[in-house]
Amino acid sequence: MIQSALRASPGTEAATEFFEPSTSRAEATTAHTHLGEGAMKWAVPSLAARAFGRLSASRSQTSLTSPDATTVEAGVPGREWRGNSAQTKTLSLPPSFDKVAREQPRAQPTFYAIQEWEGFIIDVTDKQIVARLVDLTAGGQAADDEASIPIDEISEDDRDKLAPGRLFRWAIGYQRLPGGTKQRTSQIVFRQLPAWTRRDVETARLEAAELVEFLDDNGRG
Amino acid sequence: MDQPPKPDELEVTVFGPGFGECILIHYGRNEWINVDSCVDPQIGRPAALDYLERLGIDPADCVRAILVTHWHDDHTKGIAEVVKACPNAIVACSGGLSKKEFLEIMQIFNRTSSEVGSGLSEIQDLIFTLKANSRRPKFVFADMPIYVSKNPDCKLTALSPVNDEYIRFLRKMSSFMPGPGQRETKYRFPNPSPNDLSVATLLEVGDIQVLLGADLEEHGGVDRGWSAVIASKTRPDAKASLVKVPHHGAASAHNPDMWTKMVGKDPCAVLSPWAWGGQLLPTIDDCNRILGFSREAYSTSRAARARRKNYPAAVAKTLREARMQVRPAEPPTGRVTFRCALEAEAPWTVDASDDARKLNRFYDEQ
Repeated sequence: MIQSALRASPGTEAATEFFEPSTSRAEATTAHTHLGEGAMKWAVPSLAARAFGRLSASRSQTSLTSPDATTVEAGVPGREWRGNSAQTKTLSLPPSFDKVAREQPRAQPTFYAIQEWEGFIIDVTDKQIVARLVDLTAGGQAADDEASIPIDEISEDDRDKLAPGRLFRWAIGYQRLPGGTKQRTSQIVFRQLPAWTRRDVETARLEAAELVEFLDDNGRG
Repeated sequence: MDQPPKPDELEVTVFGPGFGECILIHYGRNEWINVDSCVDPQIGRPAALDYLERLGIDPADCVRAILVTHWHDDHTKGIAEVVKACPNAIVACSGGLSKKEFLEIMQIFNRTSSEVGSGLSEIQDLIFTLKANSRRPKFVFADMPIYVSKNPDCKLTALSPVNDEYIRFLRKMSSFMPGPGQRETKYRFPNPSPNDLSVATLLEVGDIQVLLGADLEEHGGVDRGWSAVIASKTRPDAKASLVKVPHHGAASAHNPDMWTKMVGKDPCAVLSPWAWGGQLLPTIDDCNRILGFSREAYSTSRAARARRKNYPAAVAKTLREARMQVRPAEPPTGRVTFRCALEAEAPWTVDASDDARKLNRFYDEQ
């Protein structure tokens, strides 16, 4: 399961602020990681974690390993990620895909993204979703693209969770299968950020109270 | 527009769309007011700052007041940057944004890290910027003066939000606080509808009046929206000669009494278009309705969206095969500038950017 793949290993600094200890999601984390010895296999480097949070396990049940966790940063153009199951969900741009591919045994599929967006849903119908997108490949700073995506392109497991505000990553690129076959694919991964916790709410209330002190006339008599 | 206004000239420039809508006002002697913020995707910075820079005007010296009529990311892009660039300006925000119900939601939703923002990122950035610089903003409600200058003579008065909108807003904010039955995952704060807290204003410079409609909508009851503004006994009498049409010309923001009771004869009008999903404002019906009240009506941009990007062939082919479309979200950012002499009953002169259109030609290129 993806949760175990993302579990922090010894020597790994994982972000725990989003944990909800009372639920099974305690293992899932939007972790940022400083890699320690022995942590490389399961570690999720910072940008990958920021980008995906807890990956959607609906279609692929994918776990991630880095081919070289000391150097790889997902989401950075020129980097590559490999999955250890039949489908790879994490996407990035290796600078020298062929070189990396030659150096690694082809036991796992790899994905080479040509175009990546981060988006959020603004409308859902029975035929399509409409979303606003930030063009990550172009270094976009704002969601100035809009997409219409047929509902058929969304994993069936994700369809009942489609709602305005839902965040996702979308990449189009080439997937190289273990046998060497290269195929063009589009991959949409919905971010499964753990729900806000009681601690989140308490922290937000404290922070808000500080701001009220500064902003509100009533607080000043 | 490459020349700044004369010292005795009133200027009202409307920018949009892009992200948000922005209005710059020169009320005399190189003193300016900025309302909201709009980022032009082509230049990647607030359109107002870019415009002032091109006119050779230093916003730090010349901008006296900044009004924030919205609070959602989609309407206030770059507002913190504007505030930083204008350290001598007073800052005014819609009443309600100082209340814990709003601030708690702002802090909760900003615990989600995303390239697309939280929906409340811009307003948080603004509030943190103000706090870091000990610049406490002024929170405004209906019929409150926002900014007054004696020389040059200028007064900007809030016409909204009224009390009912304020209470409704706080109640709605509280409903977003996570708790039992919440969604399983964090999400981006949805686009607000209706725009409960929007600050419509009346600008008075000498004898000239300008009605800035913000995104204030109409709900039919006298306690809310434009009906409440029109019914107010304490608002200034208004006969505006220029109208920034509320809410991008939408029918939901139309109250005919606004035009007949607050606007003078043969007014000029201006709006910025707005696209969201498959919806584009103003619609053809909206254009026709507005043109019935103002023959000199303008849009800051055209109905057609900005030019599509050229993606690599493999990406374009994948999109085509899967019947997926990626397009620019909005029409290109444009500008319409109105100027008139303060000392004479001169008509407005109009200057517009290439993408701006008279409203009767808004849909010509579709």
